[in-house]
Amino acid sequence: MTNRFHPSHDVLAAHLDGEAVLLDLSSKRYFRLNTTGATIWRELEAGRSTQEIADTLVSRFDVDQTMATDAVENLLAELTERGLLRADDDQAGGA
Amino acid sequence: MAQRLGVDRVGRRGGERMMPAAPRGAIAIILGLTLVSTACQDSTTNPPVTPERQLVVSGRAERGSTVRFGVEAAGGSAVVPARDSIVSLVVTPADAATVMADSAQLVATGTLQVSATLADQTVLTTTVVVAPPPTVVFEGLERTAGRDIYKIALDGGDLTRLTFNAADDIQPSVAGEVVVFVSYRDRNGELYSIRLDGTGEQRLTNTRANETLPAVSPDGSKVAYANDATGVTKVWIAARDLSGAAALSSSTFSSPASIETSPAWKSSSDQLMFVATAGPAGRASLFTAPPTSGTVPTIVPSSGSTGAEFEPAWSPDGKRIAFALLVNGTTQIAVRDLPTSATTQLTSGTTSSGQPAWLPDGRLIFVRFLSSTSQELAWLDLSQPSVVHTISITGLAAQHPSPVRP
Repeated sequence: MTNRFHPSHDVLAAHLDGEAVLLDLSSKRYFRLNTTGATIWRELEAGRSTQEIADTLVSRFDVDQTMATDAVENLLAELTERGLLRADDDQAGGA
Repeated sequence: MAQRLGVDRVGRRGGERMMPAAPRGAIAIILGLTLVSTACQDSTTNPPVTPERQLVVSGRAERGSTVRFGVEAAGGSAVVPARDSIVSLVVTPADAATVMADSAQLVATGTLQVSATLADQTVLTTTVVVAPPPTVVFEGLERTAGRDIYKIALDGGDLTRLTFNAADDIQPSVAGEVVVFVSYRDRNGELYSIRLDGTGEQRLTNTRANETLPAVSPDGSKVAYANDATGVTKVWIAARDLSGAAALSSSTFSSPASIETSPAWKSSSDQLMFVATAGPAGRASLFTAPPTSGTVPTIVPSSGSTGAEFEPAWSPDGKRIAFALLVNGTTQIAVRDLPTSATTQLTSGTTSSGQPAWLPDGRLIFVRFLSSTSQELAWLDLSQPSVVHTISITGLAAQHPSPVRP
C-alpha cells in the first residue's frame, strides 16, 4: 500500500474555524470534517506521507503514536473509498 | 425536419422527357448547413405528365450523421404517392457515404452527388454538401499516460493529443486558438495555456494555491477560475495573461465558508455564471455577476429551488443555461430558459451526466459518468433530447468538453 495520498482533483475544500467542508464535484456531494479530519486533510493538501500526518496529530492532539496512526489510516481508507483521495501510484484516481 | 431544397423536379420516366417548371439552383441554408440541389439537364419542351417532384434531404449534412432522402411535390405540401417511393440510392463518390434503403451515413466531408431511382423509374438527383463536425477539446484519461488534453471531432474522428506531460493536465477551456488548462506537473494545480495545434505551451500561474476550472472569456480577454488561496475555494477573475488576479465576489457576498466554483461566460463576455454553496439552505446554486472583482453576485431565479445545481453553461444566444441538476443521487442535464425560469430535465436514469457545454449550433455536449474511472462524451440536439449520441474514443475516459468556436 502506498503511504502518500493526495486530494482528488475534483474535490474542493473550505477550511473555516478548524473544520472543513469538502465538495466533491465528481459525485456532487458534501462532506464535513471535524477538527482532526480537517487537520489530516490540510496535511494531505501539503503532500505529507501517512507517517508524517500521524506525527502531526501526536504533536497537536492528546494521542499516542498508535492511536494517531490508526486514526489516519482509517480516515484515509474512508476518503479513498468515497473517491476523495488518490494514491501516488493511482493514475486513474485523479477525478 | 425536412429540408426542402427549393428546386425543380427533374428526371425521366418511361422514356418521356420532361421540362423543369421551377427555377433551378435554389439554395437552402438550414441549421448553418448548405444543401445545394442540382438538376438533370433536359432540354426538350414536352410538358410534364406527373406533378413536379423533388428529392429532399432531412437530417444534418455533417460527417458522422445520417441523412434521409424523400420525395416531395415541388412546392412542398402534396402527399407523395406510392410510385414515388425510393427503390435505390446512388451516392458519388461511393466511399463518402454508407447507403441504406433511403438514407446515407455520411463518412466524409465534401460534395456528394445523390441519385434516387423511384418506383416508377424516375431518377431524381440532388447535391449534398457535407460539413465537418464541430471540434471539442477535452480531458482524456489513458491508463498508462494519465490525464492529458486532447481534441476530437464530434463524430469521433480527428483525435489529436495536445499535451504530453507525465503529470495530470485537465479541465481545458478554449477561446479562439488558445486552450487554457490545469496542470499538476508542479504538484499543485497551476494554469497553463497551449495553442490548438499543440504548440506554444506556457505557464500562466505560479502560486502555492490550486488554480482550477479555468474559463476563458469568448473574446479572449479574461480568465475566470477557481482558487483556494484563502483556504476556501472562490472564483477569481484575471486578464488573459493572469495579471490583476482577484476574487470575483465581494466579502459581503455569502458566508466566508461558501465554496464558489465552475465559472462560465456569457457569449458577450460581459457576464459570468458560477456555482456557490450559498443558495437556499446552503445548497449549491447558480449565481451571475459582471466579470469585475468585488461585485455582489445575484442568484439565478429559481436556482436551487428543487435540487443542487452545478456546472452551468450559457447558451450561444444567452437566453438559456444548461447545468447539472442533482436528482435522486444522480446528476442529470437540465436546461433553464432565463426569462421564464422554465426548466427542462433532458437526461434521466441511474447514470449521472454533467459538465454540459453548448456547441456553436445549439447542440449540447456533456459527460456520462459510467464509473469512477470511466466517463464518455455524449451530445444531444434539443429538438430531439431523447436521442443521446455517444462519442466513441477507444482507450480514453473523457470529460470536461470545451467546444472550439469557429
